[in-house]
Amino acid sequence: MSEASATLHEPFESATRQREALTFGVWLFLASELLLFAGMFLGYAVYRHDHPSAFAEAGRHVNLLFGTINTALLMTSSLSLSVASRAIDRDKPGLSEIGVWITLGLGLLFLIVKGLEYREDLDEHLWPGATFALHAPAARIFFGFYWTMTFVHACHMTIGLGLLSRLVWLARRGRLRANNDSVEATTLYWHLVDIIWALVFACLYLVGR
Amino acid sequence: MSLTTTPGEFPTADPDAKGARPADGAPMQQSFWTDGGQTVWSWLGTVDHKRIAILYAISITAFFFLGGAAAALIRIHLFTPHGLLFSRDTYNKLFTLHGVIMVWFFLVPSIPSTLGNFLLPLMIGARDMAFPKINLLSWYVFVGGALLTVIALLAGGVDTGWTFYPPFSTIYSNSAVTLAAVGVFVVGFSSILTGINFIATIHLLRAPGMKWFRLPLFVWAMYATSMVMILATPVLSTSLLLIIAERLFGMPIFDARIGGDPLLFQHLFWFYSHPAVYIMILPAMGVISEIVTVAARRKVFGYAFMVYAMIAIAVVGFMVWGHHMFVSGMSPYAALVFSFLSFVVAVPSAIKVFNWTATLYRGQITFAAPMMYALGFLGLFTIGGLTGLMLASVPIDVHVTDTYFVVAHFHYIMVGASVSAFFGGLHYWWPKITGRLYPEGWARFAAILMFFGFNFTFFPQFIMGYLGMPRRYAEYPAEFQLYHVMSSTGAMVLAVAYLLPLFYFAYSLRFGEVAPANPWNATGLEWTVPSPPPKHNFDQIPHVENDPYEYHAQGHAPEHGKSIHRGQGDGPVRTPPT
Amino acid sequence: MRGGLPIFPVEADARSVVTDHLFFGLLGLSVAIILLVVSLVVVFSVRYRRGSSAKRGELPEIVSKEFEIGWTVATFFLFLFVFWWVSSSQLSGFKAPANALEIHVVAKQWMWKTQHPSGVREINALHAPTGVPVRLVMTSQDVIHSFYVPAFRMKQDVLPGRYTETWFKANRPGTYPLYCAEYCGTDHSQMLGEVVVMRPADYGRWTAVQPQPNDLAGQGGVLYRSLGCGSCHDAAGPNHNAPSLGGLYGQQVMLSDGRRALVDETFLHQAIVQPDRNAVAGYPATMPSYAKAIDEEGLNALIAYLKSLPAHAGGRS
Repeated sequence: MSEASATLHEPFESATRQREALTFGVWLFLASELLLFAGMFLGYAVYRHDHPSAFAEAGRHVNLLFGTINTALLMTSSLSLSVASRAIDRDKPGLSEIGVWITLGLGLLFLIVKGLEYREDLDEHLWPGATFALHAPAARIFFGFYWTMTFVHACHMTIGLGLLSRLVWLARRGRLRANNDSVEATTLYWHLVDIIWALVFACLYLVGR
Repeated sequence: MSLTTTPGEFPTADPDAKGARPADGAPMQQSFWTDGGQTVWSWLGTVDHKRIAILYAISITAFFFLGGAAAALIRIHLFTPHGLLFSRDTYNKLFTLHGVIMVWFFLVPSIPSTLGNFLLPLMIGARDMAFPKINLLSWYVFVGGALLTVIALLAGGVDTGWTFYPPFSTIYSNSAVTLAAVGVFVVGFSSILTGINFIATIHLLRAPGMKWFRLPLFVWAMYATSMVMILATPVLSTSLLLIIAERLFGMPIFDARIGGDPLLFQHLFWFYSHPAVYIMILPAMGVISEIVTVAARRKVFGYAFMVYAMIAIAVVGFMVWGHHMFVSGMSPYAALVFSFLSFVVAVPSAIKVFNWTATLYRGQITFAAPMMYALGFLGLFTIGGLTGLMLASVPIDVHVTDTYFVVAHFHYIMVGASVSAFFGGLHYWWPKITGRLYPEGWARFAAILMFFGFNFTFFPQFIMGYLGMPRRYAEYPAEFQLYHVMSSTGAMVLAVAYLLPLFYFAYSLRFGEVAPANPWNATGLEWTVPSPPPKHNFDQIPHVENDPYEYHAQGHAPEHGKSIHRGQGDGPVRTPPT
Repeated sequence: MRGGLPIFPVEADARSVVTDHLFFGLLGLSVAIILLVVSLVVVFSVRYRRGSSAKRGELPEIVSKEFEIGWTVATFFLFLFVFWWVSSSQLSGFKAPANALEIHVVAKQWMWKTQHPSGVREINALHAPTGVPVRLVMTSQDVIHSFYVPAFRMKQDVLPGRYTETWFKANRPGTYPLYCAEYCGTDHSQMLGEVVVMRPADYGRWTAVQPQPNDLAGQGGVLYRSLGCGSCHDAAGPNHNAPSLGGLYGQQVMLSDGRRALVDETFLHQAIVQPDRNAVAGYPATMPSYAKAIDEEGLNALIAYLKSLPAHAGGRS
């Protein structure tokens, strides 16, 4: 969704319309994204119903500490990006830039923590391969979802970081204000990634505890 | 490019040919074909929705003939019970190739990405799509993903069928399933981006006065289709992602040996793939509505009902996927619910058929090629829809599902109806897109040949399906041979019918008569701009004052209809735009 | 199969007659609707072709809205009626009668294996008597298959990891083709078999001459002993710490996580190959998985044995 710019683009005749279109387009995209994850959540729900004890057991093996830290990081980053988005609408590009920087930093930190967690998971043989550590066969399914969902979420994070980097780049060149609809679009996307993480966290980390 | 039919080339829409050879003496008109340059980059980097539509047209034509070639080989192979040409393995890879390419790389993008892309902004009075760069991006995503899959299908071969059912696709198949699935996964994003673009465009770029209930039905069809694209495609992405995760990384999500459930995949898959049928048929309904009204010179009968019917189909279409799984071990009560909803979704389809028929009443009907295709559509769609009712009935479905009966049914809808409409639309808007008239006689001949070739190919399949001939069989019991021979013979006729337009369209590009702005004397904003349209569509954004299809003032067609298109015989006649 | 050009498949089961009635009913309806649409289109096309002399006055007011609502409602009720008609026969025919002969089917790439209660096993064939309901309990060793007998208008997918069921009651002796209807890989088109329907007396004679060391439950008993199940499950076993299995089939049991479960074929199957899945309350979860020690046919035999055990009995060892 990199269409944004307060400078008017071809099909549009007014800037308000153009911004409306961008926001609307992003919302449509988010609806689509939600269904992408919905399929996985549905699968998770079905299997959790089929294998309650195996899922509870497997759920006790993911690292709650890392998960909680990451949840906190991401929630905070949503706050800072909201601030950035409000700030640019109230004509405070400086504050907005700080907000974007903080969000970018927290997002990176999230991925680093996730990386550390992945390393620990691999050390504990939680990859559902030949040396899988858990006894119950269906625990493999749980970790199938664990790896798939967190990985897909991390991909979304990476795309989000790319969008944030673009905002930083625009800010450095003093063009953030002219692109305030970009800030809003990025914020919407980032919130979605955040909300999905909250659901992933609840499903994968809190079950069985 | 030349007039050859090798896949990858679509001479009918070849920009170079058009630019290089203006018709003898015809003045070179400023249009989107010439404006903006003729370099390769001016096409591959274009954000003009009309050029993007042409790019799509070239790509999907290539895929159509690739998939069609596979179909032809399949039908030749099935002339004899033991198969004429291939090993079983090769046969399995061939029908997979046919299905994957036709469904995802031809039928799903066919009308929306070509006619929709070209016409949507023109019809609502906009200069372009809401997100022109996203529009171009979606073409690149489409071609990139499709090429990945085609490489997998041609180089390694995939033997799972287009449905990718686990555990066969995840554990037992040794073919290039992963790469093919990755490609289809990528192409899904192209669909989603197109859908978002269409909906945003319709919401925000309608010309002043273009109220919702003044939209042409084709635009409504695009709207309903886009809803389905946005909300169903991501679920296909999920199901393919889980297949890829299982094959590539050993994530055992569908592995029954450890308690996984292969049926979960089928639910996710059909949650997309049933609505996908509506992605194919809704645009076709839109095209037919446009053609029938102009050919009958009447306001479409029951405009509002036509709109509600399309929305109803799109919405209820999300709740009927279970009818693909009646024999999978589903509870009889779940089957009952899905059966009921499948009957319900047939009601709006029936309404549309009645309304098209009623539109003809008291009209001034002419029978140019687009109308021939539309009448063909009407017949084939009705047969496809009614056999759909039989399949919605559980006891009958138990007998005929996974037989040729089902094969015939969905070809009537997806090929008979949808592709007929695509060809009808292509003829109808051909003068607008290219600025040339197509040869009418040949076009009518092709339409008739297509109709009979199609019925000849697929009607015998209903009978052998009811006799119990299972689908996806490389070899078959001898008692079915007569029907297979009929079907294969029909397929040869059909192949000729599909190839014909390729030639006469190419001919018309070079030698066809120059088309006026409004050769059909039709209403609709796309006919108010020159043919072909200029780069920015409208010099002045129009102001819309009328309802669509105002062919007559007081609700009836003129007593003595004016010539709308052709004079005597097949010679094209230029009617000045009103 | 009749000679010459087949037009219509044989009806060899009572339900196939019902299915055919439904089919012809819908076919008649479809033909009527198609004729209606086609004749309207043809009449309008001729009468209102451009320049014809037919009157084109204004449409009467009633035609627009009332017609529209009228045929929408009519279509809806017509379809509702059809739905009611076909569905009532679907539900009545769903469940097999209680006295049905139970035959097990195991599908694998690319072969059908059947097991009769008498212990007789067949490959790519199924012999069945007329007039007796036959209940098929089916599972797959690998991918999804589908058991399809056109003469019975009967089809049921066969899945790995669970049992699916269907039933028939043949009424006409003969040999009918059996197809695999769900695509299952390279030799899908060769996964063929036949269903041989015989008069009960003939079926009895046929059963008698088959080599049958033991009936199905008896074969299961042999497995029960050779796998050492009794050492934990029999009251007299050396490690008795597991539920006793006599009379268990058809009971409700309490699971360790508080759910209740019905002991049916699928439950027993899972208990043997995925014992962690449904641990029964009150017992230690020590049972290992027997997935590698026993194949699907063995499981069928073992389950038949467990079903045959009377209440309050351990193994028959």
